[in-house]
Amino acid sequence: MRTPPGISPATFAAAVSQFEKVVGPQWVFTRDEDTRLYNDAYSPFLGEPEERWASAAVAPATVEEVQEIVRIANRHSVPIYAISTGRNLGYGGAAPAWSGCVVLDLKRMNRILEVNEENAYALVEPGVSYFDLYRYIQERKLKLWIDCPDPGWGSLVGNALDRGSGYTFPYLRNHFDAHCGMEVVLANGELLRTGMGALPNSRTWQQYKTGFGPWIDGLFSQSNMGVVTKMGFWLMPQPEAYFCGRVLVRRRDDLHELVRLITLLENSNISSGCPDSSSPLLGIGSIGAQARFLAVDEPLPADDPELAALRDKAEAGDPSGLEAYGRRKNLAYWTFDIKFYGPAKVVAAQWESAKEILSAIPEAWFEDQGEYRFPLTEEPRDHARYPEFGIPSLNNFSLGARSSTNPTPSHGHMWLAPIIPRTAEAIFEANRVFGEAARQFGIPQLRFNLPAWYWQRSAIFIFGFPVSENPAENRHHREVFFHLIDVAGKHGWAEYRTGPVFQDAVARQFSFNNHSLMRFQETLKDALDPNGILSPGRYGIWPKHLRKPR
Amino acid sequence: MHNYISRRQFVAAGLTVAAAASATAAAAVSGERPGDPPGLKLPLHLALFDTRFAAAHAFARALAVRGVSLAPYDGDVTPVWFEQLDPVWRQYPLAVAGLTTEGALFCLEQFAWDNGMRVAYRGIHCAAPGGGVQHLLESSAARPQDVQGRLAGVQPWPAQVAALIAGIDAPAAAFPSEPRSRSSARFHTRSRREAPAPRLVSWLIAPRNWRAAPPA
Ligand SMILES: Cc1cc2nc3c(=O)[nH]c(=O)nc-3n(C[C@H](O)[C@H](O)[C@H](O)COP(=O)(O)OP(=O)(O)OC[C@H]3O[C@@H](n4cnc5c(N)ncnc54)[C@H](O)[C@@H]3O)c2cc1C
Repeated sequence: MRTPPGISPATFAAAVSQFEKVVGPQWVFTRDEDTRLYNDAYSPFLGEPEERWASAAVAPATVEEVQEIVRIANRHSVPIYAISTGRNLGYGGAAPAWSGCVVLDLKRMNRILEVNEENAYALVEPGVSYFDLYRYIQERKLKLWIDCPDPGWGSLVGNALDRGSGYTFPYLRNHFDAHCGMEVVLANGELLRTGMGALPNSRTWQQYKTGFGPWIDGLFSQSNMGVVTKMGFWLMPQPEAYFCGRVLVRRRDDLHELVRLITLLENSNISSGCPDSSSPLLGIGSIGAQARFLAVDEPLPADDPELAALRDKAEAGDPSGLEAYGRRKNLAYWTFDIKFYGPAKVVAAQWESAKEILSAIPEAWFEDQGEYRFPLTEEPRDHARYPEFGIPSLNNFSLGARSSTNPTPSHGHMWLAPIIPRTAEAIFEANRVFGEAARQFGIPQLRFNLPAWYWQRSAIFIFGFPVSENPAENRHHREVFFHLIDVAGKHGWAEYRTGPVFQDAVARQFSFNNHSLMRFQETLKDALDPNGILSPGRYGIWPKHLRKPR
Repeated sequence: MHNYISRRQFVAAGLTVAAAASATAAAAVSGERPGDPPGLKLPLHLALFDTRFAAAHAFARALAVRGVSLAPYDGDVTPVWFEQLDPVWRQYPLAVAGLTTEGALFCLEQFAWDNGMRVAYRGIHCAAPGGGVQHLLESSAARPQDVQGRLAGVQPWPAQVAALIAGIDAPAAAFPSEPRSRSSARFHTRSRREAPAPRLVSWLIAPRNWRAAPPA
């Protein structure tokens, strides 16, 4: 049994035996064989001494047990790291941010406490996965959809607390935005409810987010101020129809007007699903197409050598040859898929209106990508659409798996995910900046790329750096990753989320007024968790005794 | 999944078979007749196979004749897990085997851990540079007999791998994540009819104490 740093074996053994009294010995794991399962399968330090590890894990079944465990941890100053389902792959997995923590595994707390069909909300415990809630809704034939991330095996609570995203309405696909009310165990074991939940016998906990006075829910996301034991979420009423239409444009510079109009459509509630962009001429697939491609192991389409040369010229600043090639072959420079949910008549009218607005771009043309009616009577023709239909899946999981096009697969990836402004200027600039920086490090795969459009008023680049069994390669990728965090920061961009290895580096970018934000967070941390037992280091927030000079 | 008629119909059939499967598999454990392929040493609940690959079909056939019910899927393992495995694994940790892609095994292994199970054997099969198929079979160091001296027979390798899994006869030792605590063996097979295979993985997921017959 390994012990957390700075904790004597005797103290640790005493804490573990008290944990066992609370949850039963079968729910406390101290053998290497078991604790190793909490390692991050995608660790950027795979197999190296810095790979994050857990000293033990404890799996409570009730809020009272969580409170008791937190009190014991506090008494013995044993650090604990709460996870919900622990599937945070690409952003740290189930491993603690600080090696040696006891993982507080909340998977057994998997009760769905309420689902309200009329007002489309749910109240769940941390161990409830997207699959669990989907099954519950389907079994009861409720006319509700969930908004899920690509892999459906994660939890609503864990994903929202790490501020993850999905694919339906803008206010639902931002999973933290979609929550309404929390219950939290504080470091001293005290129980707190936020929003309307603080009202004894509250009847609107999942119906009105902000309650009365300061709205503190954000303090418990991407942080270490408490253990969340319940969370409310708004759900989506099952729509009558879904329609996807595509706009295609000819010229490189059309991207400016295209992004502006797509944003207008979204901010005016004319379109309602998550937009998706591609560039047939540059060979950049949409996110949906990439998911499709990765899942089915198809060979890459063979490229025309003329096209490859024209792409290089376009990337160097002269797109005229590529545009002419596009006209000849009837290939678009850019496309956007625009999605609509709602009554079939409304959706059709929205698409007509969107086409009218987008026709302001010279030579723009449009394609219908298909309509679906719900409930579905047949499988979607396109598996990549599952999350757009509120259906959890693991289909996407071929990412990183070995295939004919990826003969030396990685063990996963670390996501670099900077938020940039929603403008074509920013897309071109970010490509130039990241491309140059990556080329300095000999990383060729950062060619011109398009961002994703999960967030309503910004865009986000998502680069997956492979993790392999080769420590030298991983070291190299970590170096580039750190470098790109700095480069992004210098240009006013930063990651929306990152794994523990990079959290200090990203947090350091938020340095306005001599790091006043971090100093505020540390003040709260010291007040709420003076022994620093809750998830030390998560998102760069360290307890006093582990804090390094800035 | 639940929403789709085609899949629902398929799954309804699958579940009926699955319900009978434990009993069939248990029967295969005890009652071998001369001429039958050797039965299972311990009961297997299901054999998963990715229908896109011919080798996976051959593997499945070889387990089906031993009484194991089959869970086919085409590329996306979600429906099999959601409809057939998850409902059962929530009740009992039952053993399953498969010939799939590594992505599918990666997902299933994580679910297995949540239900007190482990990967007890794993084989990686990929096209060899000069033709044929290269195999790396791994089990826990405590059970070298599971993988050593195998794949030397005349049958196609998927059938031999199925026989290997069917012959595992002891409580599963956890498949060690540390490479140095694994037993491993490398083989090369060649068959004229064999199509070039993408990289596939054969595996056995079993309860940590895989002794008892599963509940009927
Ligand atoms: C191929 C692939 C595709 C992906 N696609 C997406 C996607 O589309 N969208 C997306 O958002 N993500 C995506 N991810 C990332 C990740 O898999 C998901 O976000 C996943 O849902 C997170 O895991 P989880 O829900 O189990 O959260 P957990 O791992 O349980 O939680 C995440 C973190 O939140 C904190 N935490 C969790 N629960 C609590 C609690 N109760 N109290 C206090 N703190 C807590 C912990 O610090 C924990 O480490 C993808 C990953 C892969 C590999």
